[in-house]
Amino acid sequence: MIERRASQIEDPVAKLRFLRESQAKVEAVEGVLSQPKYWWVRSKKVWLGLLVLLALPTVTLMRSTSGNVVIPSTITPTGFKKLNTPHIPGEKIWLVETKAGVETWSNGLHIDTKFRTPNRPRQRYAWNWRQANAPLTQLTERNPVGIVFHTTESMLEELDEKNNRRLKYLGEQLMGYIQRHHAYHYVIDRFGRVYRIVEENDAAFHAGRSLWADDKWAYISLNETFLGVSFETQTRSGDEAPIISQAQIDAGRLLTKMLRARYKIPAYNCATHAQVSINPGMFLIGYHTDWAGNFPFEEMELPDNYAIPLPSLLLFGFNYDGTFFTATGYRMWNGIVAAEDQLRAAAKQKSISVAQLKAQLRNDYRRLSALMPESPAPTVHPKDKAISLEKTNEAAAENAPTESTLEEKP
Amino acid sequence: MKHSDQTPAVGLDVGTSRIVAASQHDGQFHFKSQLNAFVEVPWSKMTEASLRREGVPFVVHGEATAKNIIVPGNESSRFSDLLQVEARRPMNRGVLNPSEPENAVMLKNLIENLIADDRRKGLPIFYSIPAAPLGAEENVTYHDATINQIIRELDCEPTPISEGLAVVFSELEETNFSGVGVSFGGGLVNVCLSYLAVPVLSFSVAKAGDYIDSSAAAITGELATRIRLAKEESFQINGNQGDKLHQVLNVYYDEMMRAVVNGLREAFSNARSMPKIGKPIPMILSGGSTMPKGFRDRFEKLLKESEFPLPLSEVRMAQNPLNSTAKGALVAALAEL
Repeated sequence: MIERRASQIEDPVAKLRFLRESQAKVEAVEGVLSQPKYWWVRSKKVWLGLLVLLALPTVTLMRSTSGNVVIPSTITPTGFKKLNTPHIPGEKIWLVETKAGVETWSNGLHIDTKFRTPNRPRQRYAWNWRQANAPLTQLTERNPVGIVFHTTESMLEELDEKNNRRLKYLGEQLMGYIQRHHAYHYVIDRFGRVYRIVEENDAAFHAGRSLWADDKWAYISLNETFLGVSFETQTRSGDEAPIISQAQIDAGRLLTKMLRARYKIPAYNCATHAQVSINPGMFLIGYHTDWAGNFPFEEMELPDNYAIPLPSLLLFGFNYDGTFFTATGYRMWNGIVAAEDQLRAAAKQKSISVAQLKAQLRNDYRRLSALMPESPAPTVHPKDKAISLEKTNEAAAENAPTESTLEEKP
Repeated sequence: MKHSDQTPAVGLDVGTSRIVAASQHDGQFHFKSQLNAFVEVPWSKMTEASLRREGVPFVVHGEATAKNIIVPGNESSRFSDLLQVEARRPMNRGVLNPSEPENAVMLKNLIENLIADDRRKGLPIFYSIPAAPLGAEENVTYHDATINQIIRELDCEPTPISEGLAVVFSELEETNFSGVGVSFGGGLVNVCLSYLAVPVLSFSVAKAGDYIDSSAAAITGELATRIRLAKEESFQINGNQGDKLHQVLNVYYDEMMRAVVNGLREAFSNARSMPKIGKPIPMILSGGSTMPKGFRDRFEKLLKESEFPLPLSEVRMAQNPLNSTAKGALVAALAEL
């Protein structure tokens, strides 16, 4: 895995840095596993026994269902070639009632709308990437076509009962900030409460420079076409466990299911900010790296969309750098490696080098982005204001109600 | 040449024969080198005036009654030839020359000169050090500590890197820094087997360019400095050259290569903790002693005859044999930033 990932890096310095960091991680793990209490990890007998225990019921089950041993089909990652299976949900979910500013949906989802705010209408443009030199098309469909998952990058407090009032206070501050900046359509706070901020049919400034593609369309600037759903948390490196509560996961699943059912959103159009974010000036991917390998797709009842070849690499010839490496987790590299493999095959078919192919693809991006109509958007992405947000929060937090001060003022 | 932007780091190849500094400006690698040698001649007003007229850098050394002129670096070669004196060497066999009292002073002078344009407080400098010679008790601790101290005195941050590994970092990015780097220097031949940028086995063979020079000098009666010039300018391995000097050089080159091949075979055969490398790996040849035409072909032939224990995908010359160690040291430094 390390060797394969290293092979994708063109810059020798970035490659060496990656290998050294990987080596340090491997040594750290080996150091832990060499301790006496982990004897069972090093024991071949234990692993062999475990393998037998796992294999027996599987074989028994397969025999019992058909009478013959069935060879299970191999799992193949979702790729562009397999996008003819869109996984559009069939479940019907409807609005049950709206009471005191809270919507109740038939799947158990509750949405608090007290922070809702309008923004400008979406400008829905897409490119039919299957047709060479196709122009930008203005989509007639008004509905959002996908979901981008984010992290709020806001100040966090330990999720503990003793911090209850402070947690509530930080959440309220955050919602106010997001409302003022029209940053997301939905935010899920630490307690799993879902807030609608920007109206679904309006644009929200959640994705900045970004792109994604499905089996037909490539979408440039996902603020215009996708919904932004953000979890109140901070980004962790893609190989680390995320800071996310079970309540947030449950609410995220209900919200995702509702949005997908309502707008017929295919599973492959549900991606994370790290997958869609780009830096067009440098032609680099991953300008923002929230959920760069540790988003719980499965918990949202979605397939592992990290395996989808990244459209920014595959369709528009973007690259990645050393900073991206340190931020991303191994799951995300399934999609990157798949995109690189397909790029190499395409270059070979055209009898040109990968570099030449990427140059051609970048020209496509330049052409299309020049055709995109100018839209009134904030000059700075809200997440780039994270520092000011944190400062705001920190400043406010100094005056925030703590357990002691609140007790003094009943 | 002054650069408009600062290099983030410097790679330094501190070789017996040459010192090479690598820096990076505008994404491009830049190299500067100086011969690691100097010539000392008695001071006279006329000599000093001649040097000034010719624009040759020099240092006046000693008391008023016994002054000397020291010509360091690249110009020392020309003066050695001109004045028919042997150039003095701060280093010998890959490490500080114990019989040269001015070794550290001259090394500092040369390094200071090489990094003058890039020098700043805290500048990271990765410098090459040789591996311990095969079958010898010598170690390089004192040499390493001295270079370290020199760089610190220049207000920079020193880090050592094995010379063979630097060659790997310079040349083997396409195999993820897996392969064998061999640097044929003046004093030693340094070897490093690297697997995914991790040095697995490093050693040196104490028979290199200087051995050829001094042996050929003893046979022909020429100065070793002159032998080195002839070797670099016109010599070709196994070429049909009739004169005695070239015949002698061929003999000693062959002997050096055989010694290195034997050392390689023994070291790799006897190594205990070799990684399981699934596929053949490349071997890179670099260093000033590889410059004669035909070197690679002859070396590969000797390797094949020796039943070398590692499967090799290719034996190839470094893209820039004189600069590859410095470049690799710089790559290592940049990767640490």
